[in-house]
Amino acid sequence: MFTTHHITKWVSSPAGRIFLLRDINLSIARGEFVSIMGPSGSGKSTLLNVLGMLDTFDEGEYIFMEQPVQTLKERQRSELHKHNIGFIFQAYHLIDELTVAENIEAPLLYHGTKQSERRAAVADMLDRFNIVGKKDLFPAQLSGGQQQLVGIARALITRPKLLLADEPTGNLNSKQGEEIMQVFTTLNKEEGVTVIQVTHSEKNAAYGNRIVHLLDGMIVS
Amino acid sequence: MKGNFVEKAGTASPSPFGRGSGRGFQLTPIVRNFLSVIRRFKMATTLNILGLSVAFAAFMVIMIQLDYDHSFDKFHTDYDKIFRMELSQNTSTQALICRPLAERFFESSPHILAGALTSSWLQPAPFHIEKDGVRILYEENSITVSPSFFDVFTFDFVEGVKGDYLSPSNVFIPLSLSRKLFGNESAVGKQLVHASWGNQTVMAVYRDFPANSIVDNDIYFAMQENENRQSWGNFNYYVYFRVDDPSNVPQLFENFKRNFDAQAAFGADFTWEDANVGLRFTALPDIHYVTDVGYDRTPKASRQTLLILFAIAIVIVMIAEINFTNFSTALTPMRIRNINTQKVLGARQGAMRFSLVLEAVLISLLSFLVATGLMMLFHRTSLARLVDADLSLTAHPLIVGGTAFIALLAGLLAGLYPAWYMTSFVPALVLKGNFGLSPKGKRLRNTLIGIQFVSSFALMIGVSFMYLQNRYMQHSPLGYDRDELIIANIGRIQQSRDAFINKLKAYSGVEDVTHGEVILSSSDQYMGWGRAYKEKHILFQCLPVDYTFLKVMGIEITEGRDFRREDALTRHGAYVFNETAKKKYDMEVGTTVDGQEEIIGFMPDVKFASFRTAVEPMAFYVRGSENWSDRSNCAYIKVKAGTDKRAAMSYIRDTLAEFDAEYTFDVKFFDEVLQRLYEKETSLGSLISLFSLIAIFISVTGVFGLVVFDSECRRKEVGIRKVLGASVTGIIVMFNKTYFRILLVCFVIAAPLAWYAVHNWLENFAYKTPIYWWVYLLAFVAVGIITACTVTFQNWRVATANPVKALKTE
Ligand SMILES: Nc1ncnc2c1ncn2[C@@H]1O[C@H](COP(=O)(O)OP(=O)(O)O)[C@@H](O)[C@H]1O
Ligand SMILES: [Mg+2]
Repeated sequence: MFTTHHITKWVSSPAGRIFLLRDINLSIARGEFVSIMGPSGSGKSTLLNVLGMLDTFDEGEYIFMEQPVQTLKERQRSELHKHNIGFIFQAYHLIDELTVAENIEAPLLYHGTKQSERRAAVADMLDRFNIVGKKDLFPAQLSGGQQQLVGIARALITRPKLLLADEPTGNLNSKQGEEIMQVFTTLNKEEGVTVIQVTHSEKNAAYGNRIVHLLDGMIVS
Repeated sequence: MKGNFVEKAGTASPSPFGRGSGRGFQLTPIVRNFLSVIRRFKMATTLNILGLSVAFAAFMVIMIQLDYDHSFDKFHTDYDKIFRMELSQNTSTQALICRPLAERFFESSPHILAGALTSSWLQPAPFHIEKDGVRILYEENSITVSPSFFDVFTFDFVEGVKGDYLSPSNVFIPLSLSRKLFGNESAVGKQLVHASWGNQTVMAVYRDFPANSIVDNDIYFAMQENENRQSWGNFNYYVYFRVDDPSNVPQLFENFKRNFDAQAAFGADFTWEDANVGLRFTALPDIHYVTDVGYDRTPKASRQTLLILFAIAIVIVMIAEINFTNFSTALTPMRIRNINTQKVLGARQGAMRFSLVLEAVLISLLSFLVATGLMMLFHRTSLARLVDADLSLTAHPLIVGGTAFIALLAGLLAGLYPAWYMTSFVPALVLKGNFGLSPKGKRLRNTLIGIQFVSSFALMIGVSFMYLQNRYMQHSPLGYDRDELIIANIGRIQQSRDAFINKLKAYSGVEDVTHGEVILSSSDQYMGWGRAYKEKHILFQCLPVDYTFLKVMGIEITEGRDFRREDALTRHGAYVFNETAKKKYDMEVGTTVDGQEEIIGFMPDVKFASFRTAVEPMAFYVRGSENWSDRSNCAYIKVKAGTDKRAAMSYIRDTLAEFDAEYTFDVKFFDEVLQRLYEKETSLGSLISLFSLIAIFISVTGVFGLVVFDSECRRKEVGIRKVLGASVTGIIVMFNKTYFRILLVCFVIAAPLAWYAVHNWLENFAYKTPIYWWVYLLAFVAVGIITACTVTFQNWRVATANPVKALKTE
């Protein structure tokens, strides 16, 4: 899927550089299910954002599906991201003003999908995550677990090849968490979607087939 | 302005409510809270105060001007019992009356308590006074009146008394002049020494009248006792009279006709009916508004203009008020957390609401104070010249106080809704993060922005058409050559007219010179003549000219011939009529008017009067030897195309000076004649443009503020959308779309409103500019571009920001 060579990211401060990521070498194959673990502030989110092309890095190489990301223009990078990557957040980040159905539909608007296809895809997702009855509700009217399901549905509607999830179960109880893990597993096994998740829970980490440990912006194992 | 709109983290003020100290109504915490709110929401506060203060200042200026016009002449004692006498003949009315007619009229009815005449000329007369043996020269306006003038109008004498002291050599002067001439000394008994009239003695000093009166603060002295006493043909005086009861005025004319021997005065075969002559009486406060009276030189106002200005004043305050409400509501999401913390800490809802409303009232009152400052500034700029009234605040306590009261109300109104709205959230809901505007709140906000857009569109379109009409009137073809034309009034050198003209013609830059009794396109109406033609009574406007006039002015002859030198040598002279007259009266070349004056030709309908009135039957007339009275005082000088017009102008001035070095001649380009003709429209246009601009400016401020607020508020949403694949362009377009939709709806509402208003206003004119569709398009594009720029500019930062930052969980 992608390979990184010596990725390093820092921010400047009066006291010198503060390193957020240091010499990250990571290779992930298509179809893997990787869990990233590490203490708070160790750089997990930063890494995920860099991998998801939401953020830039200062040194190193990032080859995503044979394309060197660091040399791409903003626009090309955005295209690459748009067509291949789905993002899930701990805080769900649904749009408050839109209904469940509209939230799920939103990414397709930026893919230029036709209205009829959009409608079918949304119906499909609602069905798949058992939230048909909620489609006209607003995010504030849902429980945390339901909101995260909407978040996942939204991430999947563009059929991404890579799913990045930043503490997707962080705000959920363990039962809801398990449900989400189940969804990831199914996706990974049956549809071959590559999944990278950040988690604090050993139990959830175990759903993946590999665990990457991060400490102070460095991979320790 | 990054983040200025938004409460900055860490600067949250200590709450005045959380302390549970009594009811929380003490002044200090409230003032402290107010100051901290101002500090926290700098931009919102600045925009609020800016918009409101400009609006209040504009409101006061307009109200002062309206009051000036509305109270015009209404402060005179018995103002409702004072009338001006006017003479109407055929369709025209004039303010000038002959002395014996006025005096017979005064005697005709016991209801007329006093009547007076004033001379029709008013000019600065040079005189000097002697102070400590030194001569000091002054030039002040002087006017002769009949002594009874002071019985019609009540003067407040500071020194001396009214009575029969007024004479040609005894004068009454205003207090302002007395101060100017003699300081604090008594003026009575002092001498004004005139070069031409000899000495005049000051008999009394009167308190100055306000500026909004037809009674000027001049030097008054009596006309010669027998001046024009029996001159029935000398229509030289303005006539005013005072009655016991205004309800008697309508009968005065009939009564006068019964008691007056008109045949003795005007000839044996005179009858009021045949001559179509009548007397008209205009009440003193109405004189300011009548515009159909010839030789009426008093300052005018139109009720329509006052209405338009009043409407704009209301719109301006409304727009500012809308901004105020919108900004207050828009701040809700930023303040709600703080408010809820206070709630959780036990602050009472009532106290919080009171504090929020008080905050709005304070901002509004502060804006009012700034507005008074703006007024004083405006007072000093040249823009103040657009307003006739005295703009000093102390002169208008009622308007200033009233505006303060409106400011108070505006604060209350703008504070109430947000205060209720902000305190009505259940704290739990707020913690969940959903505290944006409710759909209802959003609709209200959009409606309010809508009102601003509608007013902006309507004002923009209205002002554009005013401008277009003014342009149209000043630049449309008139039917004669008006380019390269210079007009000079040469009445002073009447005898040397031909010498003067020949001298001008010798100058290489001058193409030709002609002259006439009046200036074309300088008036709504000219001399109206009633004559007999083909046994019928006909009416037309007559402009006596030199025989070369049509040729020099480039007016073609469509039938018959042009004037010749010989026409001036005939006994009765000759006419060239316009098409309208020809059609209306079925005229033919070779026939005569009144059986003596020959019609020699016809010309097209040139626009000889203003565009307000349609072209009426009219004739150029070359006077014959019998009715020769040489009043042909207006020289029309045609400059060769390509000549330096300024140089030609100074040549003309120099030449005039050769003939009479003392007098300053009135020499002007023809464009100035047109400018003067449409002065009313252009000054109205600039006044309305100024205030419309202010209204549009405040609207734009409102939209600007909301856009800034909106983009701050939607940072997170934008971040999410970018993660979902939205491009920067996509985000910008999304923001623009929202406003564009509102804009479109508002345009659809505003366009017909504006059309209706413009259409009605254009009814004032016989010749109207077409209602161009592109003006509408332009207004839409202008407002659209302003909005799009604001939206794009303000959202650019948000749209290009790193989405990761926007999505960091706080
Ligand atoms: N833009 C930034 N400027 C300065 N420090 C940053 C910035 N972004 C992240 N950090 C710091 O980098 C470290 C890693 O952050 P993050 O990747 O969010 O950690 P994690 O997700 O593992 O909890 C944190 O200490 C955070 O404070
Ligand atoms: Mg994190």
